[in-house]
Order: sequence, then structure tokens, then C-alpha cells
Amino acid sequence: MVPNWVSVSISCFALLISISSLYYTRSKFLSDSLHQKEDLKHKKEKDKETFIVSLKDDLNSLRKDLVEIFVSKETINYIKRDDFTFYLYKQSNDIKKYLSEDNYEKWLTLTLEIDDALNLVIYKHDHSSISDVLIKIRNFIKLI
Amino acid sequence: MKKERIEYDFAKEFSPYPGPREIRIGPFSGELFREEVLESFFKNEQPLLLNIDNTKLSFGPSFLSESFGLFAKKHTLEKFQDFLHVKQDSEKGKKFYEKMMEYVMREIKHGS
Repeated sequence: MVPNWVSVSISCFALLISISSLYYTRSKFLSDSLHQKEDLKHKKEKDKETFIVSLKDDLNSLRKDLVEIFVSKETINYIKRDDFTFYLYKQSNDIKKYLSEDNYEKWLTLTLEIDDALNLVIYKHDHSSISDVLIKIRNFIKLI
Repeated sequence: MKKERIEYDFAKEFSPYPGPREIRIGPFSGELFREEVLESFFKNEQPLLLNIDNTKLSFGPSFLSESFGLFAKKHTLEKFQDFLHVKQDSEKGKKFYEKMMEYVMREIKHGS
């Protein structure tokens, strides 16, 4: 027959092992989820940086196209306006995702102003508002 | 009694080429669409299902702001959403709806 103190010791030892195992699992879980959160944050930051670099490049190209229209007094057509406005619309979701609410509102204002300026060129052969828009695009690039 | 919603084919009944913001700038403007189409159907309590699938060009931000934005601002968002539904069977219809609502919300929040 096994003495009582031996049974108690074995039970205590088993309990100690169970508690240690639970503690280890919990710590590992917390450390893994912390890593996952950090990875996700890092990825989001990287995506944001990549998006902003590409947005700045695109906006600079758009500025060059508008400078060309302004300087040459080129009469653009509906299709060209559509290309511009489609480009602007395409950016909106990412701008909403990566930039602040305030910058997103500024973006919507900019899209309205660019569209109005292009319409004046198409329908009235009036290029004057393009120069204002060019300044606004430059300011937006500086802002982001 | 509320009338049954009817489908309004934008390309067929207004223009396949949505125009600029104001009437003074060019044809098929947002202002013209608001005054002659939206206000007129609303006055007759005739709810619409807007179908934009056959348009040849996308809607410019200024058209959306001037037509749907100002209309919703005048009549409240609730009445606007009750009056106007957008046919969203196609990807084009869905995207149009998202874009339209951006400018509607903007006009309601910030329009002066």
C-alpha cells in the first residue's frame, strides 16, 4: 500500500505541471497575438507609405497633363474628362482608408474643382480655372 | 396611396453623356437633371428606380454634387432615399451608387 504522503506529493506535482503548462500556453498565445498585431500594423504602415508614394506620382502626372492643356489651350473631349474623373474616383477608397477624414474631405473638394475646371474647358473653351486647380493639386501633394 | 416605383433609364430618357454642373456651362447638366427630372417626379410623388447602366460616360463629381447632393440637402436624406433607388444589378450600378452617396453625404454635411 502507498503511503498518503506519496499520493499527495504526486498529486501536487501533477497540479504544478498542469499550472505551468497552462501558464506557458497562455504566455505563448499572448506573445503570438502581439506579434500578429505588430505585423499587421507594420504591413498597414507599409501599404500606406506605398500608396502615398504612388498617389503623389499619379498626381504629379495629372498636374503635367493639366499644365499641357492649360499651356497649349488644348480642347479636350468627354472621353478625356472621363479618364481624369475615373482616375480621381479610383483613388477615393484608398484615400479614405489611409488618410484622415479631413484629408478625405479635401480630396472630395479637389475632385469637384478638377471636374468643374475640365467642364469649363470642354463646354466653354475656358482654360482659366485650370491654373487654380494646379495650385490646389500641388497643395494636396504637400499635405499628404 | 403611394405610387409604384418606376424605372428611369438615364441614358434613354436624359442623356447617355452626363454633363457638367450647371445649365450655363453645358448640356445635360446636373442642375437640369435636378430641376426637370428629380424635382418633377418628386412633386408628383412618383418614386424612381434609377438605371444608369446604359450611360456612355461616367458621372462627374460636379454632376453628382449638383443634382443628387443638392436635392437630398433640400428634401432631407430620408426623403431622398425613399424617393430614389438605384438599380444595382451590375458592378457599374453599384459603383455609381457608392460614388453618388459620397457626394450626397458631403453636400448634406458641408454644403453651404
